Order: sequence, then C-alpha cells, then structure tokens
Amino acid sequence: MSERVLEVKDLEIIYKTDLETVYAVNNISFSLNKGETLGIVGETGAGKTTTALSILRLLPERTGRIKKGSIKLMGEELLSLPEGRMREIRGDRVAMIFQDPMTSLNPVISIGDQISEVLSLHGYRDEKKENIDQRVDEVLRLVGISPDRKKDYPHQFSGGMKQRVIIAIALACEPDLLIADEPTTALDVTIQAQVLAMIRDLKDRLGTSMIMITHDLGIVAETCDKVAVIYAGELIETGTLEEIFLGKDHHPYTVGLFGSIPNLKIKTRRLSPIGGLMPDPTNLPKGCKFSPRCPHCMEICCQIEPPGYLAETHNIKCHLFKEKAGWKQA
Amino acid sequence: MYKYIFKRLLMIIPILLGVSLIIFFILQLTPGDPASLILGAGSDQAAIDQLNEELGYNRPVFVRYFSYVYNVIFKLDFGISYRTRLPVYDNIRGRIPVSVMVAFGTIVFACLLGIPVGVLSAVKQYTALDTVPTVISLFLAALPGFWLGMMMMYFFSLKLGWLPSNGVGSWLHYILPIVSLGLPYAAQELRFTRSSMLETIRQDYVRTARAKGASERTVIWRHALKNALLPVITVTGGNFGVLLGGAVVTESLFNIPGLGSLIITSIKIKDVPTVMGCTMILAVMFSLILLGVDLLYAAVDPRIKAKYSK
Amino acid sequence: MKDNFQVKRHGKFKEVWRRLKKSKTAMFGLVVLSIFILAAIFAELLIPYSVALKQNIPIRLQGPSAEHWFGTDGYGRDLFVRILHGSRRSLSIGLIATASSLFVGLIFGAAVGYYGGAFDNVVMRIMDTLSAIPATLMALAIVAALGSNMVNLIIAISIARIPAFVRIIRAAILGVVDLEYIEAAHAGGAGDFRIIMTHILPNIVGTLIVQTTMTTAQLIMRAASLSFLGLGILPPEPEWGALLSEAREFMRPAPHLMVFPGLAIVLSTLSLNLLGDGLRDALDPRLKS
Repeated sequence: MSERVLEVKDLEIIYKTDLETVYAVNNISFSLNKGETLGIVGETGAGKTTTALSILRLLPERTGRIKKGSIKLMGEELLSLPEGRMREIRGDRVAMIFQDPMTSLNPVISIGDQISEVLSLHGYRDEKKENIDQRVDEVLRLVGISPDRKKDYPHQFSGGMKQRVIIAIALACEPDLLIADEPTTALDVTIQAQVLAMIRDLKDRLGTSMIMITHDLGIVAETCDKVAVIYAGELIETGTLEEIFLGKDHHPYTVGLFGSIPNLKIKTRRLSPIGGLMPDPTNLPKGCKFSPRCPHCMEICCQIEPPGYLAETHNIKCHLFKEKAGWKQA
Repeated sequence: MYKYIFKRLLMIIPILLGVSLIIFFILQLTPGDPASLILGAGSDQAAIDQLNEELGYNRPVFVRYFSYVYNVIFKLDFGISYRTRLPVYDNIRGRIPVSVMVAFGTIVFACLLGIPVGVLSAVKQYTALDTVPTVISLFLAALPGFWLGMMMMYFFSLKLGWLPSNGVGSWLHYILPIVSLGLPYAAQELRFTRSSMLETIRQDYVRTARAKGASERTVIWRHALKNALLPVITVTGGNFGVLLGGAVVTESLFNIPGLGSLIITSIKIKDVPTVMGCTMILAVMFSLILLGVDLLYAAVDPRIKAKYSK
Repeated sequence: MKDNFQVKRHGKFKEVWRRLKKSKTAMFGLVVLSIFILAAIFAELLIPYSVALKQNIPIRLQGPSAEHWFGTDGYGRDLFVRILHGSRRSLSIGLIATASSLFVGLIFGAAVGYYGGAFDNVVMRIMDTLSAIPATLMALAIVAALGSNMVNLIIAISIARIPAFVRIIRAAILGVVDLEYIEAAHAGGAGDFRIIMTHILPNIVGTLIVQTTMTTAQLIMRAASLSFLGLGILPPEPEWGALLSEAREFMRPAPHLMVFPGLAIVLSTLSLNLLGDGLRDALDPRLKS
C-alpha cells in the first residue's frame, strides 16, 4: 500500500470582506499517494488556486479563512500547526510553482541567491557556503541552466528559463509534494512542452508527488495519474486518468469540458464553451451548483445538492447517476 | 558604468544651456537698463549712456546672451552686481555652502523621518500604526513651509527662547529652518514610500518568498524593501526642485545668508545679474541632484546597471 | 453614436460619485472646498470689500472677539473680513493659473502627440528644460521681470505646470494613435479634432481631473509664497500670503495674525488634496467595484 502523502477532507474556504463573503471552496476532499500526480481541472475562478494556497496556508491574511476541514501532510495535520512550524514546511516539504514566471522572481536578487535562500532556510541552514553553492550548481544543472549564470538576474532570462529557475527553487529541498499552478499557461507553446517534460522527469527521479492545476486537458492527459474536476469550489468528478478520459459516464460539466469524448491518442487542445457563466461565488445557487447551465437539469437538481456516486474509484456528483447501474452512493 | 555617467553628464549640458537661455530672456524683460539701475535713475544721461556702452548693453540680445554664457563657463564671470558694483560671483560664493547645507540637511531630515515611518505604516496596514501616520502626514503635507516656520519661530524662539531664529551662527540656527522646511517634505516621503511599499508587498515575487518559508521579516526587508525604495529614490529627486523653491522662502524668513535670500533682495532692487547668477547656480544644483538620483537608481537596480555596464 | 456617448458619460458620473462618497476624507475635502468657494463667490455680497481695507488704528492688534472674529491687524482692520476677501483672490489665482496651464498644456500636448516628428522633439526638449528650473524660482524670475501684480503672478506660477499637462495628454495620444479603430475612424471621415474629442479625451479625463485639483492646491501655495515675499499681490490687497507677511511684523504682540491666514491656506490646500486623492481612487478602473 502506497504511502499517503496528502489527505484533504471536507475543506471549506471563504473570503470575507466588509461587503460580502465569497464561498471559494465548498467541501472538497481528495487524497494523493506517493509518486502520484493529481490533476485539478477547471475554469478560472473555480477555486483551484485557493485550494492550492490553503495547503501552504498562504491565503491572504485579512480576507481568506479556512472555515473547516482537515489537510494532512504525511499524516500531520497542517491546519493546526503554529506558523513557525508551517514556515519550516513551506519550501521544504511542500513547494509551489506559480503561474506567471515573469513576475514570480525578485528582480533585484540574483537567481543563485534566490535558490540558495530556500536552501539556507531549510536543510542547508547550518552548512558552509561552499556546500550551499555546490547544491545550487547541482540544482541549476538539473533544470538545464549553466551554473555560470548563478549571478545573473531574472531579467536576463527568457520566460521559459525563468520558469526553470522557479522549478529549481521549488525542488531544491526535494519536497514530498509539489503544487504546480498552471506552470505553463504563460509560456509559448513550444516551451510548454519542454517545461512539462522537465517537470515530469524531475518528479519521477526524485519521487515527488504532484498536484497539477490546469485548465488544459492535454496537459492532464500527459502528466496526471488521477484527475479531479472542480466547479464552483466543488469537486464534481474525480477518478483515475483512464476513468476520466476513457470512461463512458461523466458529469454533464465534464462532458462540456471535453467537447466530444476524446481518445487518449488524440490530444484535446481547446475547451468547447459551455453556455452561461459560473455562478457568482457570493451567491451560490441552491442544490447542484451546475444546475442553471446543465442541459439535463431535473427538478431535484435545483433543490438538493447531489451526493457523490461511486463506480470503483470514479466519483461523480450528479443526480443523474442515482439510478444508474454500477453506481452506488458514496 | 562610467559610460553611463559620462553620457548623463553630457545630457545635462544642453538642458542647462536651455535653462540659462530661458532665465536670461525672462530677466531681459525687466524694465530699465543697467546703467540707470547702477548709477540711479536721476543721474546724468551722458554718464548713463557711457556706462551702458561700457557694459555692452547696446549689443543685440543674442550677442549679450552668448557673451554671458561664455563668461560664465570659461571665466566664472557672472557679471557685475548692480547693487555692489562688485563681481556677482564674489557675492554669491560665500552663500553657496549655506544654501547647500540647508537643502541637504532638509533632504536628510525628511528621508530619515519619512521613509522608515512610511515602511512601518505599510507593513502595519489597517492598524493604528498606519492610520495615525497617514492622517498626520496628510495634514503636514498641506502645510506651507514658511507658515510652519513662522509658527515654530514663534514658539521655539520667541516664547521659549530655545532656538535662534536669525542668521547662521551655529548648528542650532539650522534647526528651525530645516525642520520647518523638512516636515512637509517628510510627509510626502512617507506617503509615497507607503504606497510604493503597499504595491510591492502585493507582487508575485513576495508570494514566492513566502512560499519558500521565509519569515515575514525577511520577506519585508530582503524582498520588498529594496524594490519599493527604487521609485522613492526617483520621486525624492524630482521633489527636490520644490524643496529648493521652498528653501528660498525659508531663507528669507529666517534671514539665512544663502542664495535664496539674496535672490529676493536682488529682485526687489532689480539687480538682474545677481538674480541671474543665483538662479543659475540653483538650477545647476537641481540638475546635479537629478543626475545623482539617476545614478543612484542605476547603481541599485540591476536591470539598469546591466544595461549600461556592457 | 452620439446618444451612446452621452449615456455612457452619465452612467460613469454616477458611478464615480458613488465611489467618491465612500471616502470620508474626500467628502470632507469637498465640503470644506465648497465653503471656500462659496465664501469667495459671495464675499462681496456678504461684506463689502471696502470693509477689508478700512483702517481703525485705535483697535489695532486685538485678539479674536465677538465683534472681530479673527481679531484685528496692525492697522486695525478686521482680519476675518480680510481673509474672506483673500479667499477670492487666492482661490481665483489658483484656479485661473491652473486652467491656463491646463489649456496651454492640452493644446501643445495634443498637437505634439498627434503630429509627432521634429515638432514633438523640439517641444519636448523645451518641456524638459522648463522642468529643470525649480518652479518657484521660475515664478520669481518672471515676477521680477514683469512686476508684482495679479496677472503677472498668474502667468508666473502657471508656466511651470505646463510641462506636466503636456506630458499627460501626449502620452494618452501616443498610447492610442496607432490603434486600428483610429484608422477606421479616419476612414469613416472623422476629422482629427473629432477623433481627439471622442476617443482620446474620455480616457484621460480622470487623470486630468486629479491633476487639476492637485495643481490648484500647489499653485495656491506658490502664489501665497510669492506674495509672502512681497513679490506677488501687494498690500493692502488681502491675499493670504500677503496677510502672513503683514503678520510677521507683529508676531510678538499679535500671534493670532499669522494663525488664521495660515489655517486658511492649509485648509484650502488640504481639502483640494483630499478631494484629489479621493477622486484618484474613485476614478481608478482597477479598483474592484
């Protein structure tokens, strides 16, 4: 039985301002085993980044609040840890790569120093400078950047190379979990493939588990073992890669996402537009959150929130599956 | 790097020439000719005409301008003061260090006071440590320096007798002028530093630093501060012009023997060469400060530094 | 098309006003400023100007009292009345000077932005040079040459602000002049002027409004500084700066003489700044609604 790296249960997150409350994440549960990659797919604003930030406890201080839930990293409950201990975990056991490489690096500090910073904060705290430098060189080579460029500044690198530096920083301490939030969205298509390949390769070598957040199904197909589809802060469908891509049954939203059900052999590049917009997170609809846009909406959908229905490891939150053969209430 | 410095120095020259041109021509509009002003309006017409001829007043305007510029650059000759009939340069030489002292003292005071408080205010946003300085600085920024000077003069000089209010005998004499001129300036530094800091803290790379597990202190000091201060440097330099203007009034108020007070008295008696000379020197000071600020910025921001060190 | 334009403008006004109302400081500024403006407009009706000049030596240098709210000055004149009439002068100088530099700046900025080329180069070099002269010094030089009266004062202080306005509108035009819809408008037969009015101006109205309030505050202060030095409005005319210079003589026996004119300057400047800040926030498209 594989080690359970991450276990998220019943997570609820809101953003509260003086004017309104945004229900960003509504009762999310998922888990990740060692070496696995979980893909979280959804539109912008569905709650993907919020979920990711909550694992690192980096939600905006004043407005972000984890109302309830549990996040366990290697069995350790993160939500009750003191901030000091959380800081030890950030960058060391859990690392995150953000979306825009152009702005994620400090423009006035050399990349070498930015990498050595994460080392000195954690495992290499008491090491001599030479050892740290050595490790920085090692890490740079890992991501395909010459160690000669250690003293260069971010603006001297292209977008793709900047993202590699960020990956280097993230993996320098060999974390158990890597969260990648749309790591290639801001890059050229040709660079995208390179960076993805590198991430996959490094992850396999180091045995890192990964959460890949994206809206691009093609990337999911290439990199993920498990998939979770997120909509209006809920995981409306989860399953293995085969179940999601090859299975016959899906949540209506997922169907919309895929356009026509694709073949693993044919890459899906574009999402076909689903009529309507995601619901206002300050004013979520009663019952199933997708009901206003769902072509199969029934009366019960507007009243009661659907429970998850399970077939092996494939979980779908939709009333359509209540009577369907092979599906049991989860 | 030196290439950059050299290039920038070269760029100042046409600007300064332009400034001299503008000021020269403005002052040429002053009614009256030099000789009348020197000898007195009621003097003998023949003497006036002769003196005007001697001073080269009858030459065309552009010739006079170029001759003036030539004299200034190559001989440091700013002409003769209509009042003292002595070379303008001798009059103003002694005053330059005084004005420099006041100006720099004020900047240093304003920055030492305004910038740290601005940083603190931004870091502690939404708390009292933010609202109190913000409110105070809003108020201070609207105060005219000379009014503040008058009030302080009244309290600290007349009533309490702690500080002198006239001239420059000792370092104590500089306190009231510098503080009265500097407080509104400090308020502006505070406000700008604060807003720059607030913006910097929201940047992605600050989030990256936090994701690395850096402590809040490290995030602020190492990552945010340097980036936030860059625009503050530029703005401080730009505001220096306003400070120089305010210094003129403050010098007048506190009777400080600097360039500013000389300008005022010279204007009133229409001593054009002295006005011209003092104004030019102050304009040069301003340009040099702007250059200094630019260079400082280039030295600190690796993006600019790299651009020019190849 | 014209109708759409009007409707858009009105909708935006309401939105900006709504956002502005949220800021207490901006509202405070607006209220105080309105009081000053009303005082300036109705000064003559409330108390004739002659009272401001009326000397009454026996009651000179008295502190505030029921009869003379702000006390009397060195010549026995009522300080409140002088400040009241001073508001007219100080505010109108500030506003006219701002309007002048705005107007000139807009014309040059528009011309330069639109036609570009060597014209652009020359004008911008001139603007750079103007900016290299500290504003107060330039004003001093102009007043020195032309003499101390209201018109010269206005000219003197407005010139230094022209470069700022030129830059704003030039930048706005440059940001837009290459866009295709400008070409389309051209092709549709629209003249240059119409293009500027309908496409470019609405985008910079916000920045201009904010700059105008801030500039007015700055110029009121500058005018007061010059008058204080005896180089702007001269006594016995009651401009706030001139009042302060009168107060200087009598600092020891009558400190109240410098408090009130100074407060007038501070309050008017502060209210303009607060209003400007509030407008900047209310007009900022980035702020979430």
